[in-house]
Amino acid sequence: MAVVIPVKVSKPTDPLPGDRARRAVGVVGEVFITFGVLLLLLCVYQLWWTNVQSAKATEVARDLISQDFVPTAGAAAPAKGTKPAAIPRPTYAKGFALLYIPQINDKVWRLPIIQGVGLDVLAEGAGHYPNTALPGQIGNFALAAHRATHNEPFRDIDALKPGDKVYVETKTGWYTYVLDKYKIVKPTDTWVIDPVPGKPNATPTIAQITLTTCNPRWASYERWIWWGHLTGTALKSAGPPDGINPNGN
Amino acid sequence: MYAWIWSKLPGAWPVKVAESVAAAAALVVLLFVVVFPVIEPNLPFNNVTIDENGSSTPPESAVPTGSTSPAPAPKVTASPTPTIIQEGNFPTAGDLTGDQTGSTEVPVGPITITPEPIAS
Repeated sequence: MAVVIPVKVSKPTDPLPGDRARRAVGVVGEVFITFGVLLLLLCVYQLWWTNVQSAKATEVARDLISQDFVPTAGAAAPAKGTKPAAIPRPTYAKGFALLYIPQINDKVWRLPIIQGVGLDVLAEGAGHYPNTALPGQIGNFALAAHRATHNEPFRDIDALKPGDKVYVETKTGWYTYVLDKYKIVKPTDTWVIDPVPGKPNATPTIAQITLTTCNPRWASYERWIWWGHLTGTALKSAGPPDGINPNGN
Repeated sequence: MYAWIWSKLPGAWPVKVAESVAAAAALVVLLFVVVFPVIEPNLPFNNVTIDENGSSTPPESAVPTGSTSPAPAPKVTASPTPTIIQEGNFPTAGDLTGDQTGSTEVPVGPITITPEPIAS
């Protein structure tokens, strides 16, 4: 005689022993994977998309400045004399000059110089520290630009050497600066853009330029600073300095 | 989590695949357009400026053009914080006789700048 042993058959919907724990582990794993994918996307954004966006924005800013450079029809003749007319202090986020550095010309050639150093400005070119001198003026013409991401204009800042030339084109003139020295400083060293860097009480007597960017390139716990001084000034009508073809490169 | 989402997606499996792809694409767009730009300033690896005032404009007034008196030298107070940054544009008497057209702003009195990290 057969003995029928009742066996409890679990329905598919009933949780198996340990099922809940297994499901919890699965969810945690999926959260981790999701987080990893998000980080990868952030890398894609930083390393690729910001460059795409900034390249476009730089082009737009450059066009605006170029249009601004065209003498207005019927305007007064260019200032006489040998010194370019001073340009008015630009408002925030207004582009007012173009930067040329032949040694790193694949990135810094007709690079827009825009008033201010906010993120929105730096995404379009080099930012001009708002309270520093304008191109060619006595004092310190101080600029900042990205070294990584956002079109990375100052990517090759470490390839520059003392004696390298930096050209600035404004509506009225051409300014040639020669780089003197670089220094790696702390992010809080605001003295580097003083009118006379390092001498807070001194009254400037020469026109200088300062370039600032981050250091190391992919971290930014330091700043890379280049200083230079003005060696040449020319009227716009005299044409670009030797070695500069604004339409070339 | 993803199994649950899959089970909630309506339609047969090819439709579900299409819906998944669309949802993922929408998420990427949202991240690139909204989320990443917001969190970017807080990332540590692309600050390029030295700390400078990005918000408060120091008081400035234009020196009347044509003035032949030298601009007053800015007073710089050497207090540790807030940091003082002085205006770099000080026309000399010689400069003012030229073709200055409005670039002769000089600060009046000390300019106080509160250090404020600018991310970029």
